[in-house]
Amino acid sequence: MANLSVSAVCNQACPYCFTHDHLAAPRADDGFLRMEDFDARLDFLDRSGIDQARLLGGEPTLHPRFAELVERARARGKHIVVFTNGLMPEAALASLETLAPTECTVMVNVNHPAEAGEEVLERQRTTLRRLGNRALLGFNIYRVNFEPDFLLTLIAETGCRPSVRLGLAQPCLSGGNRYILPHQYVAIGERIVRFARAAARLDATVEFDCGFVRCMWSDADLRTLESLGADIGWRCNPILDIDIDGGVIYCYPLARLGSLPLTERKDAAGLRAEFESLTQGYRQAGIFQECSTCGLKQSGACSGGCLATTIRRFRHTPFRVCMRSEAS
Amino acid sequence: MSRTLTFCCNEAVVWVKDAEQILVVDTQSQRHRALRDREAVIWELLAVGYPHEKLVQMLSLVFSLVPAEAERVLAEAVHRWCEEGLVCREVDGG
Amino acid sequence: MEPIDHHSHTDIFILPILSRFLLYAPLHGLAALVDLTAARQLRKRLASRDWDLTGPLGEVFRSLAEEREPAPLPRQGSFVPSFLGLLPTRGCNLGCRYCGFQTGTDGERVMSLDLARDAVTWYMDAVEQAGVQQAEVHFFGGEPFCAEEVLDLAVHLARRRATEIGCTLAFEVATNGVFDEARARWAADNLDTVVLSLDGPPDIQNRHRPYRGGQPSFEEVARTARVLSEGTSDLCIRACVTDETVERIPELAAWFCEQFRPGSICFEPLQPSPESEAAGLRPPDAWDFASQFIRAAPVLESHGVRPVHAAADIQTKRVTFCPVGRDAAIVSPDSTISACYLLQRDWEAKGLDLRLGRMEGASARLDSDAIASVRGLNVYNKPVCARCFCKYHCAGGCHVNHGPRGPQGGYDRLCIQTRIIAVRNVLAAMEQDDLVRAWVSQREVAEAAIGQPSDLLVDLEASA
Repeated sequence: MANLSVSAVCNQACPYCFTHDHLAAPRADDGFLRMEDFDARLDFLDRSGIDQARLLGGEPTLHPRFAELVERARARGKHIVVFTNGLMPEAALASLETLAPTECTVMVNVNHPAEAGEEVLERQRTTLRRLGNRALLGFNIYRVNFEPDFLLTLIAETGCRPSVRLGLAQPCLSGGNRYILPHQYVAIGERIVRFARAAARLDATVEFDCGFVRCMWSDADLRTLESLGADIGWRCNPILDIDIDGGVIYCYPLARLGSLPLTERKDAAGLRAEFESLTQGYRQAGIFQECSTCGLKQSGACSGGCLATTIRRFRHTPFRVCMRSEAS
Repeated sequence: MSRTLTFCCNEAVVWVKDAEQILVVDTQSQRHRALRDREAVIWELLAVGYPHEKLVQMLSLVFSLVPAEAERVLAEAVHRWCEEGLVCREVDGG
Repeated sequence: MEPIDHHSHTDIFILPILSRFLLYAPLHGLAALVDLTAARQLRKRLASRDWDLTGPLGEVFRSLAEEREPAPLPRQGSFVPSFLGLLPTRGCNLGCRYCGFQTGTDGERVMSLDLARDAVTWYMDAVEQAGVQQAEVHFFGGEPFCAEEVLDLAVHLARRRATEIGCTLAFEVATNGVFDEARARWAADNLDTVVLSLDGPPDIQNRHRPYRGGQPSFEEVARTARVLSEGTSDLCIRACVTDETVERIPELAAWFCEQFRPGSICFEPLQPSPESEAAGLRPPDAWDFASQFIRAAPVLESHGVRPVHAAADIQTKRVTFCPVGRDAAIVSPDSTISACYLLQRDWEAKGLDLRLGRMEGASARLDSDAIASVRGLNVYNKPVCARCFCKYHCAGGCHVNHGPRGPQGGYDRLCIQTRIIAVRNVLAAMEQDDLVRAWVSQREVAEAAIGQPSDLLVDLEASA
């Protein structure tokens, strides 16, 4: 898989935003992907054997030719996935409405009403109603005392897909965004179980984005989640992010690791292999001290948590030591 | 006749303290190594700024070594790390 | 009131909470809200040992009549250190305005590394001999990191021995957090619990806890707090509260959680000293402190942070609040082994001798009479605690700084705030947060309940 950034512009300022390190710098251009470059992205997807066009940003639907981007991707037989905050221009919304639910998935990321405000929430409701089961709710957990029950109300009100994709707010390498600390994971895990029970009562399910770890739940809670149909994984599989300048990032939180150029010969597998090679040393560790000797990590059952969180544990210490040596 | 050699941590090297080891990674080559037991103690003491003499004293106390043996253990570790590229020897001054 | 008979239900308590009564029996694992009629009925049937009672009250009654867990008892038998305390130095790099630890030239003495090695070796040998599963080493001061070599040695040596023995090992330090980032990261990597003294934002921290020359300390301590937050240590922030800052406790709670994300926060009222009086700092009123703490607690809990008022910790049952009487062995730079980390002059001022012996090389020479005397410092020898529902949690508090010596029910300021917070904790565990808010909002009524001289159910008619 690969994410195609089509916009460096956003109309929200979520405190946990994963693009914090990458999109902070002001741009000289308008911040939108050129159409010819989008065609090159589609070529990349084709030669990589990827049948999804995953569009993100910033806010991807702000691209002035968003509808055309969707058309072009559909013309190549791509399933459209859009990562959006739902505050999209009418033209963008209309273009998505023309697609069958089997042709697209619109992940609408929402924040708690107390933070988003009623006006934003109402616009998101409108988007969700119009998209119906093309749309799926996404929610990023960036504080321990998160309150997700409003998501179930949104599902009931709007008829969007009865599923919520939970994400843990992970740090960018700079630590400049809001994120969850590993020692908070267990408390968050308990809240997730409560939410999953509430969701199940309304026939909704919970999905998990990357970065969750096995040890944030007890065996009993894990069984509960599984019985409620939660799609659980202990993954850290960075999905390549291709920015509007043609730079390929391992994933947005890891932007400071650097980018690789997207050339005509490269495909996703090759780029991923390059990044894996660039980070394999860090992968020996995990987000906890115990990860490097944990059987679940060693067997591959658990990734040891988010790579960005893991990398942030490492430090360089410029020590010096003077020793006597017998001259030869 | 003896002379003083100065070693410093390779600029590309980062490390993390884990439950049973210190994991050291060369960010340029991505080669990595786990330091345990005496090596781990030495590395950690260096990281908080211990000079040579104090390092020898601490190693003696922690591992019940006579000072000469502690000095040898320390020297072996540092030289090994130098061969592995984890530390660099600073060029002697004129 | 009747004299205490340990077989006559001296662990069943009742307190009026507005229009109801809180029935609390910690050794029976019971907390319930009942009305006065039910309370009287329970009292009557317990006294007459009439076990036949139906309905919900019957269930409560049967819980009280059943076997209870044994009351905590003082330590007995051979001395096995419950933990090793190391006091690397009484010296400190701050000049906190309320600090009663200032020691003059004695503060400069630093524990020798040989003594630290010997103390750790002796302790770990004792752990091995006794088959203890979890060893603990605590560091006290002064400021322990003013003698950081002691900590480095103790951590590495103890860890090595723990691996050989096959036991787990935990380290805890109480620190002012004033050290460089490398050391902060070392602490985050190596210490299981760090109790970090940080009184609040710069305006509070720099007024209360400046460097010796008066320079502000906030930036260094805040950096340490952030590093510790990101690490694996359980960070407990300890914030000293005065009459000037007490109204800000809920605001400070939110601020701490947003800035540092600790595991727990301990708000402590200022312990008055000549130094604090000279600095114009005064302890808060007991009610104000407790009520603000109660307002702050849900703020902390909503952030996943534990609110700590140690004496009101209802999860813990004990006969002594602190290391004293628990067979802790705290080694000072002069090789003395004591039961307490406070200054000897402060114990002596209260007529206490808390020395247990001395390190002599790699051995400890312990005085069995001293051990027995210190073990006798427990809640069963504190008449004021005898009928208090907190007796197994607070256990009379600090023997030196509190140690209430009055008659039964003669509660002092520290007792009062502990009792108020403990009521909150019991009701919170029963998910009665609304009742807590209503109770705290009626100060006179609540104070009357807290002031009752006996909480025992058997004394109900005398109290009601």
